[in-house]
Amino acid sequence: MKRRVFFGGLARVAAVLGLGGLAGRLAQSAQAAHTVWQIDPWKCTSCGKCATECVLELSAVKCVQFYDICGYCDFCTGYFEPQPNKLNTGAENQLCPTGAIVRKFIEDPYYEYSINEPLCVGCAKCVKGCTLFGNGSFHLQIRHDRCLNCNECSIAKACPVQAISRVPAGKPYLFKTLEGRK
Amino acid sequence: MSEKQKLNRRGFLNAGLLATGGVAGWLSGCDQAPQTTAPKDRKPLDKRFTYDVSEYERVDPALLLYAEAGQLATGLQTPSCLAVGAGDLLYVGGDQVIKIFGKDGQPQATLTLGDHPLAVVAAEQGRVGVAFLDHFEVFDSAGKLLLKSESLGAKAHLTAIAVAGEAVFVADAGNREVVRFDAQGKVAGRFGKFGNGDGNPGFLVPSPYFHLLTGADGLLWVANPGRHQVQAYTLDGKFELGWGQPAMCAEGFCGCCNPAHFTRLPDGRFVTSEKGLVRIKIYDAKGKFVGLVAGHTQLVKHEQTLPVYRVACDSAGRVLALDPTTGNIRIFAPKAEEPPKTQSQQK
Repeated sequence: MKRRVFFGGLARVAAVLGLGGLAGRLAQSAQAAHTVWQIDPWKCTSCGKCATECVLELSAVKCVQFYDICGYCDFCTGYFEPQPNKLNTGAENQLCPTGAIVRKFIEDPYYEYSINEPLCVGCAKCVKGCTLFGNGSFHLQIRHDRCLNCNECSIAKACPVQAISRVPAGKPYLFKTLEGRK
Repeated sequence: MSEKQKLNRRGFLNAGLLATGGVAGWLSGCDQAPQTTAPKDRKPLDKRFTYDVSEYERVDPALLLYAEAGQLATGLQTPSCLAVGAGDLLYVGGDQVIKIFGKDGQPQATLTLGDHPLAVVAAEQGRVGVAFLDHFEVFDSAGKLLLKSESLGAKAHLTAIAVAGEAVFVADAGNREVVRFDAQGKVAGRFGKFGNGDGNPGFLVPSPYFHLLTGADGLLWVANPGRHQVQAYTLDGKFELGWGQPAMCAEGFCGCCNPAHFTRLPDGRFVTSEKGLVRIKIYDAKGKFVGLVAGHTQLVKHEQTLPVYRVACDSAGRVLALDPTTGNIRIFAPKAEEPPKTQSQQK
């Protein structure tokens, strides 16, 4: 009888704990699945705060390339220093301080530029260069494979133009489309 | 202490240990928590992470050959194009209209259009050519539609229009080529598309800024922004010459693709307008840098909305620049004491 009471009590405690944990996790995942944080590229001013204001030591914000509007320029102002010595992949000519942009020859005279995300710190230096002179195909986005989806996003709090807001988790990225501009 | 109490305490402790173990096991099964730090404990990014072209925004005051002489409010919400015609009539397009202003700045007439105009040219006998996204239309001075060209298709994005005799030329940024139309508005030829084997350098047009005009020299002058050049072609599309080079300094064309727009002064010199580093500059007829009409600091009020100015010139050599952010025409007149002309101009 005593052993039965002990095991009965143990089972009840385990069941309560398990149920509580399950309910907590479900509630958390339900909230997270509902909305996620994202940057509106039309509002972003490339101030650089995304690199330092995220709670993650390596920010969840990364530069992304929107190929639809890229000019595939030989002289890409998001890739090259403003006054490069030559238009080649020499480190001294590259704008990105971490070398996170990959330049690939497509056909004369077009080049494709893509982001090596593990190297990108989200400083927006390339975004500013591309937006200032080019079409702005480089822009910042919060990558959801890294973002913790905090209740209060510390970058959103620090953003000087309120470019970061919650968006539906079913459409977690905001690209530079004309619809987005409206 | 009774036997019952001892057993209950033991049972309680055992249950607690088990539960703690269970929770610990559950937590250990979760993903490893990423490294986090409070943002306030971080150092700000150093200069290597900052895009800075401010040194190129400043210009030597000695290079500024023009001064702003006034502004003309067009009243347009979305101004898109301008041209100067005979008698210095000023044609400004936007908001589905072309507004015509006299030399004194007084409104003369308004042509109502069916769509948003992207380029305008003043032709002979008061006729006005207007380019839309995929075609152009010609109106008489009273606003009557005289001609509507055939469409260049869904990919077309016309950005400039010019007239030479009966022929009409348009710059198509969408297809990256120049198209020639006959007097009936039918396509009579096209050239400049990269790699089409016509022997031309090919137009590189990364963004919808692709301007052209016809000159008194009988040539068609076309901006090739991806090559940072202004190039001359015969009217049948043969490349003749080009000038310009990429550079952030005042002598060159900045960024990926410039000039965004250009015009010519009555004496044949060129006036170019750049985007990014917003500046309007003068080059002589051979493409040698002469000086600036206005620099970035004169032309940009708010860094977040960098304008792209369309430019035109009147018979007095004044430069008229359409400010897309205000809808005003900014009028720049030569300063009283212009520096001595360059050797190439004296020839």
